[in-house]
Amino acid sequence: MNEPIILVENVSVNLRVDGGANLKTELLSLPKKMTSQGRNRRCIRALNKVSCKVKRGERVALIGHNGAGKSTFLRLVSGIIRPSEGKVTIGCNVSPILAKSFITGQLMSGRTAAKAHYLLSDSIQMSLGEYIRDVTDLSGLGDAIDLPVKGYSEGMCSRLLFSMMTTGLHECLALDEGFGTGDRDFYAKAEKRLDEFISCTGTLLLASHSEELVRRFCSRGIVFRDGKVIYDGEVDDAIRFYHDN
Amino acid sequence: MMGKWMMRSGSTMTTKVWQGVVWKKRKAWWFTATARTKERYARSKLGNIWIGLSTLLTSVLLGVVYGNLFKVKDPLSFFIYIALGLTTWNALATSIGNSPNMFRNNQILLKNTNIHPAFFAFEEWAFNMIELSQSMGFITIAVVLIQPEIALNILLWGWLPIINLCVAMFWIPVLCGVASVRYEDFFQIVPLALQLSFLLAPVLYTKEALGSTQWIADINFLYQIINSVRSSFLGDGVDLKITFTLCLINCIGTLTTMGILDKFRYGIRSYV
Repeated sequence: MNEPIILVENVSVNLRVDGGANLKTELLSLPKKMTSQGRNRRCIRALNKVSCKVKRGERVALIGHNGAGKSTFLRLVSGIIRPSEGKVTIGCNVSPILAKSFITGQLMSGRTAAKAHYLLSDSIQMSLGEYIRDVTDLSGLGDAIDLPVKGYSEGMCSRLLFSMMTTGLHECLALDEGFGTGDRDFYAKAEKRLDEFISCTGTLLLASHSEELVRRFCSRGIVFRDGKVIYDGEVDDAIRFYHDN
Repeated sequence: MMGKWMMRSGSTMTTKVWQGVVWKKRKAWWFTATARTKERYARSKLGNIWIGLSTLLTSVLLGVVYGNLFKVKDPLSFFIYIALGLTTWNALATSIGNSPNMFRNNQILLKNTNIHPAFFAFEEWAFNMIELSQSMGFITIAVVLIQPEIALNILLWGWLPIINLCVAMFWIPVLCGVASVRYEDFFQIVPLALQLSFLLAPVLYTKEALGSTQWIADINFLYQIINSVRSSFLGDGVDLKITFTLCLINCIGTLTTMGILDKFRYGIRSYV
């Protein structure tokens, strides 16, 4: 329990905002690059000298305004992006739930999407049949699991994705905004699922604007502002700090 | 060292792409590729039969037109020549032509999941392999019905050139895909290069028709890939020098591409 599984040391992340480069400009700027006169790229500093340590089994809420750096932090610890400066050490498999997007296309069924996720995942310790059954039960989709995803409502997509991502064993879950679009019945099931996950000493990183959700599932809060960690402590204190500052 | 993996600025995570993505996830990328094929023809009554049927129809029509244009004496042999050339060209050109969108089409997943970009490269390759096998299967049945000895030629000589074609259909599109993510200009360059390659390659006509400019075909890598498949099918044997040169280029190309995919995996996510 006291073993740190995520160690972020003095990390800064610069994100490019200009997309792909122009070949002509790149070729013309080649002499400058060769003489180390720097690169003219438009970047934003999404994280600025962030340091923190997350222990196994901790439930950490990431609190802050939009653009404060919460999602970038989740992407960083999930291995989606790498630090521009500093060092990140990860001692577990981090499963990110960041976007409502399936691996398979919109004309494919929910079952196909779930099967693709099952095949891709390293951490699911059950048979495909059990997995699909569990996903169908939790999402409450019933027979709709065999219909094309294109016809699903936003809530159905959200439920299916949450069910797919949380079924099976996960050491660490990086959750962005949670499961806000589901109905009350699903919300209760999802809470139960997260309780089960936490009771198995799974580590939870939850970025959310919902204080209810954060208080319900997290014991520690990290407040972000302008890419910096401005508070790290008990979740109630963190929420209070966020409101006061 | 406490962690399974570590990231520092300026360095990359040490992962074994071949083991981690290619082999371990093989069922996943093959499954998503087959799902894509099903999705493509989900609303079609004939389904993926269209892949073979369209190639066959095009070959028949172009065989008639170009047969008349070049006043060929044996229309059936010319049809076989055109059909084999066109099928292999279409497979190779389609894979390269679609490559600039290989990573762009998956940008939401690339930016929000920790799936290695190599996964999408292999999914694209598997998708192209399914299309190739279906169109090639359809055409092979048609040409074997006309000229049964082609079946024996395929078994004796055809396998190595086909392997070359399949490998080329991996690394050339992936290299173009990575370059297109990095440089927007590749969206314009790729179709232009493909068009020039096609017009300068004797796919719909014989190499002899080029006269003194046959060297243009000789230096065309895409044509050499296609021609080695077609020649072996037609029983002209295998030019070992060309086949092994293509093998060598493919090996170097594949290893380089895998290295680039791993080295620029964060760059691909960042630029896409």
